Amino acid sequence: MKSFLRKSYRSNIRALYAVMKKELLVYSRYRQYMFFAIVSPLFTCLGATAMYWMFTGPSRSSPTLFETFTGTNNYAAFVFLGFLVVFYFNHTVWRVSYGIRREQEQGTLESNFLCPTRPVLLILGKALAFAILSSFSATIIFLLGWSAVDVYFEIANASFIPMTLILVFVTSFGFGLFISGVVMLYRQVDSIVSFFVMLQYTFCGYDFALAAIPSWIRNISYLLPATWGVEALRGILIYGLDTASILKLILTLAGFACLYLFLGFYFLVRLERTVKRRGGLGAY
Amino acid sequence: MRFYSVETFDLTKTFEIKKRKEDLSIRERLLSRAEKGELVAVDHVNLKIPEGELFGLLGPNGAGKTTTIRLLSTLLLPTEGGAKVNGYDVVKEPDKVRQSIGVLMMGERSLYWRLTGRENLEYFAALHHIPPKMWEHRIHNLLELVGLDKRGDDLVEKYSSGMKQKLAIARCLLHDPPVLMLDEPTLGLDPGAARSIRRMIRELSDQGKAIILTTHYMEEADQLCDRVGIIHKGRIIALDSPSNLKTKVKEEDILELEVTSLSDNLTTYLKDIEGVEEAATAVTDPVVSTGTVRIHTKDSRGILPSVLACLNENNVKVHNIKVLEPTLEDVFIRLTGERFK
Repeated sequence: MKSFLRKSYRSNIRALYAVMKKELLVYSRYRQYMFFAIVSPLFTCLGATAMYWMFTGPSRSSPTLFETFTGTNNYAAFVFLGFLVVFYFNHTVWRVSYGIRREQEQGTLESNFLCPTRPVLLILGKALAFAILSSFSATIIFLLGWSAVDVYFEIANASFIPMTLILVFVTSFGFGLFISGVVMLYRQVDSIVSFFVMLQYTFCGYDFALAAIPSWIRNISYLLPATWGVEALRGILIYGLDTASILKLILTLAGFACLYLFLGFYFLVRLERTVKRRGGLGAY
Repeated sequence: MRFYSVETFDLTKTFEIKKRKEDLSIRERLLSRAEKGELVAVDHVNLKIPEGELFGLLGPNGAGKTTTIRLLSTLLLPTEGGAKVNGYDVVKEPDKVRQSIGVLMMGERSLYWRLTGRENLEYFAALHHIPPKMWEHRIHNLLELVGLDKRGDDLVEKYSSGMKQKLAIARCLLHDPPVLMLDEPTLGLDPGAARSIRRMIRELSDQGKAIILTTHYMEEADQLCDRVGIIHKGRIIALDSPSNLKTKVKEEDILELEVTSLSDNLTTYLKDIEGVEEAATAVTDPVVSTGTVRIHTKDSRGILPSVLACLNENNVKVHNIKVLEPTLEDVFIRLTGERFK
């Protein structure tokens, strides 16, 4: 019997694109999703803005202690950059994990897993689609910071910015893979994702200098991928670090990207097998 | 050697379940150990389904039909034994198996309701690695086949249940697989939609596809299937053509009585009557305890007075009595002493 199936490198790319397109189409057809995609960054960055107003006072000058800890008086850029990276990271992880759970509840996860496309490709497609949406939200935050809170940058090595952003995405994807596996296994998303999101917000130093916290807490921060994304971008856009120092930060971030990617793939494959043994793929 | 589209070898699936508190020993309760029990959902199933056969897996809810389909379609890993689909091992070659099968599970819930019918098919065509040049023509043909060519650009959420089910069938056919697995394809559909889907299944079988159809509608299995496997508590308890299965109870009369005030022990009393080979009850309305009593006997006229007396003694009111031709449900009753639930 003649088959229509033509599996190749290109057909895998097409499958990846189809997942991305489907996610964005479904997302765009829920008007409330689009509304919150615009409104939620406005709300969520209000905290950072208020903190900026509070610490800098009417003169908008940087507090002395802040400069002592961070080595910069560019408070607005410091906080907004940190917030931007952690927000981007968490939103991607959050959306991918919720996406998996939603499909599980709707009953479509099984029909996807019945196709001869690797589950990791399905999740990568989701992650790419949600990275686009998170970038959209992050751009709103960036524009808000630029216009309302006098964010300015002293860019040292602009060519490193795209590489850093790609590494932040890769790390968040690895992290998302791992959490997706856990969500599939436990058929529960809220507490799992909230825990990881809270970890990033609390320990990555988006609104404080890591030098200000005790060293044992700082060690937790250094294990979290978003911390290195924040540090690398601050190094490029605020501190004007030299190439060698930036490369050092980027290499650390790349190391974390590889580690989380490996862990993500490893856990997803292991957990997929466990789910197939226990029978939880189609649970809703 | 004959080629089988689907072949299973002692296929078994066991799930871990939590033991009920009352089933635990005092020691287990005190030590909080051994709280997990086992549920055998599929128990050493052996099937051989050749190309072009329409095979029905018939059984009541919870018998193990869907678990068998999940095992064959690589969504579950077997605990013991194995299976081959289109010649590929379901554990060692899951990708090849998925390339060879079209699976309808959960029908309308397997689709994206916020996409149009065409967008759904395009999405799944890409996941099946069908080149875009081919899928345009293929999708057009499939939408026409299932009668949705004029509604292909509407959102699926606007479809009726029957239309969603037809679209789900079209999704299974996208890559023209040699093996189809259809899990309760007519469940919850109105008679017209169910009839049209049955016709479609028959046509697909005539094209040479091996089809496994799970159902708990006996008439559906009887009308459609070349062979039927009756599954009960995970085991295949009978396997033959519908007509051969029915000949096993052909010598018997089937009495069906429509009654009210059904009681729990009624079947025990009825089975004690001389001449009653088998008896089973089914509740049709639990609020007013109406239902049917089905009795297998070799002499329906002879036993009728004793049956009516027994029902009278148990305060069961009889509204109607029919003598019926045996169905696949009677085969099931004969084999298990139970009716389909």
